[in-house]
Amino acid sequence: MPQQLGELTFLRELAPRFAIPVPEYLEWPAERKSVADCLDRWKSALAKADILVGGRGKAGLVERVDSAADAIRALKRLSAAELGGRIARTSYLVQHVPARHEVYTAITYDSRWLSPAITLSLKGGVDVESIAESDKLTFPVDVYQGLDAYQASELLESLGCPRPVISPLSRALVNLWDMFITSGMRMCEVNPWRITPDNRPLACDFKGVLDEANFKHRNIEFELPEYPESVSEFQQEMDRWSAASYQGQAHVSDLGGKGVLPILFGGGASTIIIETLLQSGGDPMFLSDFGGNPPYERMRGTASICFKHKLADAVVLLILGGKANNTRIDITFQAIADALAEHAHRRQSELPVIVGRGGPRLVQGLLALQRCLEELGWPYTIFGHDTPITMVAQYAGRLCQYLRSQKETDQQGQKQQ
Amino acid sequence: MRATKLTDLLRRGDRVAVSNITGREASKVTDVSQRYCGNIVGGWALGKGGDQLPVGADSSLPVFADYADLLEHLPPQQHPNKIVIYSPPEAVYGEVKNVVKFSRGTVETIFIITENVSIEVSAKIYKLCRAENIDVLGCNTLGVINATEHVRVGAVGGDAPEETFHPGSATIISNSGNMVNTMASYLYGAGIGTRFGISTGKDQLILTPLRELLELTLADELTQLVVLYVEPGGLYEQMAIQWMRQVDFPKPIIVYVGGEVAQHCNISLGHAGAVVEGAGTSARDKKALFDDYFQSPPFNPGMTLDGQRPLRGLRLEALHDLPEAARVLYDALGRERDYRHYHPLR
Repeated sequence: MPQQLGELTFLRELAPRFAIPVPEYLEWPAERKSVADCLDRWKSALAKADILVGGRGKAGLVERVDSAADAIRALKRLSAAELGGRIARTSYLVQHVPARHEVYTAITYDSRWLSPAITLSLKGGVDVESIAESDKLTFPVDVYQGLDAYQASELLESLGCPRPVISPLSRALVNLWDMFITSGMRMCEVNPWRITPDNRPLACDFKGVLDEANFKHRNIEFELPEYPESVSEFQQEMDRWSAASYQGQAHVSDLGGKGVLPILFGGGASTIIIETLLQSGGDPMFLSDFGGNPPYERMRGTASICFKHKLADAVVLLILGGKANNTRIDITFQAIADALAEHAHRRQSELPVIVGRGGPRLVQGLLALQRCLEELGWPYTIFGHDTPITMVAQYAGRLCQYLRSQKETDQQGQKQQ
Repeated sequence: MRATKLTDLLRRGDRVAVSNITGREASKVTDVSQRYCGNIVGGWALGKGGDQLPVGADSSLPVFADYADLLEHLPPQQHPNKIVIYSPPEAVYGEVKNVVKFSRGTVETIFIITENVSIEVSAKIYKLCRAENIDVLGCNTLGVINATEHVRVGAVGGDAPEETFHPGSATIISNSGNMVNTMASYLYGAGIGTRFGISTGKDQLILTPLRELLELTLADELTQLVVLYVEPGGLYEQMAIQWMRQVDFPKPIIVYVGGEVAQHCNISLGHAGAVVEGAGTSARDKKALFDDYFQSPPFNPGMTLDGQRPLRGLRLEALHDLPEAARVLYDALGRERDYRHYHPLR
């Protein structure tokens, strides 16, 4: 998972380090006197939830306040806000800046030029998607040379930026580029820069994403704040396990389903299998990709986490992937079989198992799994690589749907008795 | 792009060198590749200079200390024109810089297999290599196979490439390495073999974009059908379709767009590029782009194509419909399939 950065981290850590002009702010909790002093000085402020999710304004997580009492009430409310499965870490108060203009900027990597690119618009303050194409400009930036003030000023001039704003905003954009490239970011967005009546640009909202594959983000010289998330224990444990090693993939995303427990291999294949399960009534418990030729210990650990959290409630266990190029089937399937044997006691009844796979040392892998399933006495069906993954997924999905409907019928029958 | 033909990416007679050749993955893949096509001249690995890597039953490949050491010790006629990078992510940029510095125009293509290369490094590699007229596949590609000439680089085809890749008329271009293999086996069921199998990689920046690969298929007489596996992220398909309209691209395409479900989850399934950036980059948008280009609803097995001209291609809703769609397409175009058999998937 890429590490996201919110406005509060930007205000506290990044803006001062890179000399990016920002409004004054105050982090909650704070003493009543501090809040009152800020409001006396600023006259008006915005109370915001420190939460890593877009659309805060529309969701009511940004509130304009004009008095200390209103500010404290809003800060208390917003510090406990929840939106889209995310929970606020805290809240904060930002000086409200009267503005003559609002400017949108984003720096990201663009597939058209295969390079960094900067997007600018003088119609900032709204979602970038709602800015007309004719009102914004995207321009590639040389990844070696970076953005210089002359390039920035030319772009602003071509957009029709008022002349007194061009120089201070160009310098601010160069500093924004420095922050982007020095911190190893994938993207950063300031929306808006509010341009004060005396032509000072102030970055008034920010979001950024660090590239975890970029070693630079380890040198940002501050602790990234941890944001509470309303994600399952399963997801949290797997995320930690996934981050612990680059050997083999251990990606999951909890879907909240109650049907098929999917142990899937290959990024492309996993996607297709989950889509097929959803279409065929499989109600998958999570999305997974465990490919990348994991060694035994890695695959055993991955499977153990899945079984520890999900085996008890699964209706069907599906172990499926396309025809592997490099993932060793004997190693991965032995690891799954051993993890299954370790956690089988979690179930009160047998669990149907559907297997489909192709690739190096397939037969040895299937035999290892078969031995385990025979010992457990669980029913199973094994498909070879000549049966398409989508057909196996359909089979598993329909079986799951049938078993659940049977269970419901049985339960209704018992109630009637 | 340096390549003007598909075979410029990979042909028999190419001389391949492998970075980090003694690594767990690289050594195994090298062994299989050498048995399959014998196109590897050697490799290098830190601290392993002077070693020999056993390949096949009774053969070995020289291991050098680094790329410059390899050039110094191999005779000029064995100097590599293709480089496969298997080094860890933090070493990839250094390896590419060394190749550029010492190759003196001999290297045509670099295949970067390594996953988790930073996007900044990818952008730098692209700029550096374009300036030196070197093509780059990846990062995070699985490699390329030229089934007609029975040669591969990387791990496409796994331990037994000849089982899946039979010479034929379909060129497969896939964001997923696994799907190159899977789709080739499905097509063979319909009596259609593979011309080229190309894993583009699916990092956010795909350093050889779809449009450039389609240009190569256009110039390739043996490619009669282009099969695509596409995921969300990037404007690669939008740019490719724009170009295909401009040139009135004459070769039929079958495409499967996956990943719609993944977009709603905080996961990129190991494919770092499967991140939606804006209009035209989501799976839904890409499906719409192809539907509009094909001027046809998605394929279903009962579909007849008679009377539909020009027949630009078909989009699959279910991957297992690939052989049937290919058969129907070939029949509608009056083309002979590569093999007489037809084995429906089951």
